[in-house]
This record gives sequence, C-alpha cells and structure tokens, in this order.
Amino acid sequence: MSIKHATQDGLTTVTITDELNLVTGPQLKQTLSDLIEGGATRIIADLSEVSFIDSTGLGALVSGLKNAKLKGGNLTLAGLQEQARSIFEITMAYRIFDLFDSVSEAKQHLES
Amino acid sequence: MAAIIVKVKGRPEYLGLLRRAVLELPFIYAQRACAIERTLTDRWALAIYEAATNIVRHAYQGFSDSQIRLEIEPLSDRVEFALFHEGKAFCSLPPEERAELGEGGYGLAIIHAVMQEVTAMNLEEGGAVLRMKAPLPQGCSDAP
Repeated sequence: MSIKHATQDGLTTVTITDELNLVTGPQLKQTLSDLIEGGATRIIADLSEVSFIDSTGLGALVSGLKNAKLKGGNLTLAGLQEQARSIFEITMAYRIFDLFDSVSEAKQHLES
Repeated sequence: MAAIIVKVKGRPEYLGLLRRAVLELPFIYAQRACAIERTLTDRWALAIYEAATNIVRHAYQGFSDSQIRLEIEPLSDRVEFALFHEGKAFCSLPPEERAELGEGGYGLAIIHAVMQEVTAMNLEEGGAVLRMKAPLPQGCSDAP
C-alpha cells in the first residue's frame, strides 16, 4: 500500500493504493491523524486504486472522519471500487460518509 | 475431506490467500452451470477474511506461526466454510446493534450479515473451529 497526500486551496487529497486491511489500516489511521493535527481538516480520500477494504480499514476511515469533524472539517471519500462499496453497504457506513464517484466531484462539492 | 483446503500461518500478511481462495469459487460453480456474481463472492471473501482476522487477533494475540486452515465445501445449494485454528474458540455471537458507528467492531457484524449458521467450538483434540454457511443463488441447486 502507498499513501500520498497533497494540499491545494485548503483541500487535502489523500491517495491510497492497493489494500486497506489489518496491516495497512493502522498506517492510514496514523496518517489521517497526523494531517488533521497539522491543520488539514478538509480531506478527500481517493480510494479509486484501492481494491480491498476490511473492517480495520473502514475503522481507520471512521477515525479520520470523527477527528476531522471534531476540528470542524470533513473527510469525504471518492472513487470507491465494487468491493469497497460492499463493505460500506454491509456495515451501513455509507450513512456517515459523503461518497463521490471521483475526486473532482468531491472537490466540487467541498468548494461549493 | 473438504474439496478445498488452504493452510496459512496465523499472521496478517497471509490472510489475503484465504480470501483469494474464496474468490475462485465462481470458476468451480461455472463448471456446474451455476453463475455466481462477483459481488456475492466479494462478500463471502470479506467475511472469511474478517473471521481469520479475528483468529489472529483473539486466538493468536496478533500473530503466530500456528496454523489457520480454511476448508471450503462447494455444495449444490450452499457453500460451507470452516476455519480451524490452534487457539481457543472465541465469541461468535452477533454484536448488538449500535446506534452510532464506531472505529472498530465491524468484523463480527460483517460475518453475521454475510454468513448463516455461524458457530464456534473447541475441538477435543485441541484447537477450535469456526463454521459458517453461505447459501447459493436460486437456480444453482437445479443445475446439472
């Protein structure tokens, strides 16, 4: 897994690749925590290159969302693949996240 | 003996192999004229991965060179899964419904949402087994 992030015009895009699982979920949780502590609160997680998300990965995203909201921001998710959509449906996590088909759509929403 | 057996060490980096074995099931059922959609096997594979994750976390305290053995029996109306491990059986009851989504505790909820007849039991010879069943889509049991 790789995690890259870039900030432009107050929006931070975190791009994750491969799998978000028992091994990599804690890394994402720490990255999101560090970004939010550093002042980035409007965050888009680009999941278009993530082929698998398990409960640990989902927990990392929920943690990021909660931390961002505590600072008055938000964590939105973009580009969920088929398997990732499945875990959001099973757990009903889609209720608490703003989900977008692409990063550009997420940006438009956050900038509006 | 089960039709499919996959054995891995009880370490997080090996659990993906168990998931990939489940994702092969549509190819087996295709030989029996039973079409299984990828979305369904994605769900089964996720449940097996979550069950194996729980074994690593709770039975093996994070990692172990002890074994996890996945047995898969692709039957005409259902798939039966069994995960054998060398630790003690742990709670397999579905979690109580929570009003608010937390940062953890989704694993058991996923297993129970996807699988049927989830049971955990200790074995006389030592170790434990977690069993679960997944029904096949309608029409598969009529296939030749």
